[in-house]
Amino acid sequence: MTSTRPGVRRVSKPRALLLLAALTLSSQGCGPRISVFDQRTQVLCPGQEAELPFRARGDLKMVVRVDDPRLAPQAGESPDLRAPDTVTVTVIAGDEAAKASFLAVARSWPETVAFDARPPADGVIVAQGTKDLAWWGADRFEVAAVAAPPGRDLEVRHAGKAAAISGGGSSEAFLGTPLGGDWELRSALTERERAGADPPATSLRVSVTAECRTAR
Amino acid sequence: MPWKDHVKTVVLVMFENRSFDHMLGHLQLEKVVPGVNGLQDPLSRYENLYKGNVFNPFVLQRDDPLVSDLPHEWDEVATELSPVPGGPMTMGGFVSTYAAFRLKNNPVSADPGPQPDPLGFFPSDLVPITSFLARSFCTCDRWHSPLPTSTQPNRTMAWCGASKIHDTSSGLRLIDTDDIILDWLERNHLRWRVYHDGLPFFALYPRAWGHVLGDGFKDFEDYLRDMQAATPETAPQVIIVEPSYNDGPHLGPDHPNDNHAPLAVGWGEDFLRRTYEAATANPTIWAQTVMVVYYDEHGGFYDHVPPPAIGYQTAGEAPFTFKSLGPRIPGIIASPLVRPGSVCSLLFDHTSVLQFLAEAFTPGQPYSPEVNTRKGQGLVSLSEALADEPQRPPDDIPSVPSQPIPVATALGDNIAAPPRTAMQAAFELAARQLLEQRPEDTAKKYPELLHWKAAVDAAR
Repeated sequence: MTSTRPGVRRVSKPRALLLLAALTLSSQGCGPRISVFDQRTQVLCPGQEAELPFRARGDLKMVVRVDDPRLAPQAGESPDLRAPDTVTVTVIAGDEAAKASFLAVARSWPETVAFDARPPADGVIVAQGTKDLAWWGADRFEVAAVAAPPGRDLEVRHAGKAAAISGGGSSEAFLGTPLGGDWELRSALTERERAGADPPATSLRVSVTAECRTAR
Repeated sequence: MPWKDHVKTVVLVMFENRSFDHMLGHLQLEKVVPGVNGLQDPLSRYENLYKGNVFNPFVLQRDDPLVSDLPHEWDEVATELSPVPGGPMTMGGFVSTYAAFRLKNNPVSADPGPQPDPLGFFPSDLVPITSFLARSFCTCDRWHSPLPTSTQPNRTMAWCGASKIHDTSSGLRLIDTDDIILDWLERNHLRWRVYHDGLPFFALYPRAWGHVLGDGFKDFEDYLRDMQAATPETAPQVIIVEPSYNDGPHLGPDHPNDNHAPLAVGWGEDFLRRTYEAATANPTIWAQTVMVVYYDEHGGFYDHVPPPAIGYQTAGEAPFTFKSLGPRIPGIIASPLVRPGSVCSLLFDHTSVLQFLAEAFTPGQPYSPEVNTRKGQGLVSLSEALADEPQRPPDDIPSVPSQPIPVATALGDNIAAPPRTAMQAAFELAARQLLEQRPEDTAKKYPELLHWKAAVDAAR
């Protein structure tokens, strides 16, 4: 491997991880320091690649790790990256360390949207928040279908649309909306929750079939 | 014969800032200790939600230093336990708290990543000594830190039975206390030692400085030799083993081993091995020893068990009220008096140790009114985990794994940088005041501090 300072590491999928084990970059002079490192986790759809720009000085070590042990690289090989494998890149300079992760996804994959719920009021549980994919560097994912978990009817609002989804059922009302953004999930207390047999749910969730925009 | 007749020496080893699940959750997952309340498959049952995303605990693949410490001050712990204000304790706020902590400290790197550090936990092969002790002796799977907050208040509860402070981040501070375990040991004419690997935490208590500079404090390197030479008549009745603190003053090859994040734990594993080797070096002494391994608090690492609602009000001028214990910490009792590979699920906190010491060495006389109050709230003595008779033959002392422990560390030092945390500031203040106020005694007892101060003053 070669490097420049400031440098760019290019990581693409599939068979992109040529960065194996440890890479030591040497330079003379001041104490080790990482001055710039883009640490956002990035999701890679099939065929996509990501850049990892960094600027550093001093004695550096770059460690690239595939977290799925199935993919532990053998000597002399470069591992395949298969969904949903995670690759972590760590740059170490002296006692500084900076870490970035890449997550490979399939063209279409199940993604959970879940939020902690407020304590129930008037027999209704509400959970809302922003599904934030920004740290994945990704606004390129969209919704294909939304499903409610078994046993819990949900009213779902997202991207200006709304749908009532019965427990275990699914809806395509949100087709083509961005995966990220504001979501609101509402549920009446179940019979068991009303009777005190179960504690009220502390979170609500839907299962979203997400797709890379490039897939459509 | 009751347990009291078998206990002549108690060894206390307290590490820093790891949760039960982080260090010992693997015991159940790997099925190495039956009946323990650790982590179970599928790990998806343990959830932390953050910005619409679901995060689960994950097995660490290596023992690497973390990028940073983790949040564990009282307000941060409150969110870790109850992510929704006023909501129930779900133990679901570790990731959101971590993300907020990262955002505050380094906005460029607020990303918690798909596997946030607070949710990582060690498999047995990365904590071989801790796991060995758990498998060989008694794991306490319901031992909580006394307070849902940080190091200084929890260690003060451990060493004093009461705390006037509720946080560690109030700036440059040494710790005020009315009484400390060293006073209790002296009052009751007990033989005791503190073996320390570097400047001990007790140095943060000005009340303890007379002891810290006295003969009761000895270098950790003396521990093994002292035990080999000890007799039942001369062996200390209470031994406190202090690791080398990550926040303490360091210079040169001295490496911290207290397990405080972001340290890799391999250093602490090696320290624990050497401690066990010293404690068991003399079979006659070991036959009457109870060695307690515990952590001051969870350090921001995930644990899945909500702490019981046992509150505490600090004794300071501005009382602060906690509504519960802190998260579970790793607790292990190593002794011939516990069944090999057993689990104790009784409710402990650090004052359970003080209850136990009083039962063992001042029978009929409780440790203190404050500790007695804790007992009344349902926290029991460690003695409840002991059998009345030895649980294995006297010559059956489990051999600690001798394999090399790989450790990772960052090279270089930050000696030119001013303290970055309240704990670092407190340790530095203690070192400087000891050198100023008791120069001769300090130079004799801790000569490395002279070198450290000279290097720091020259570098800044």
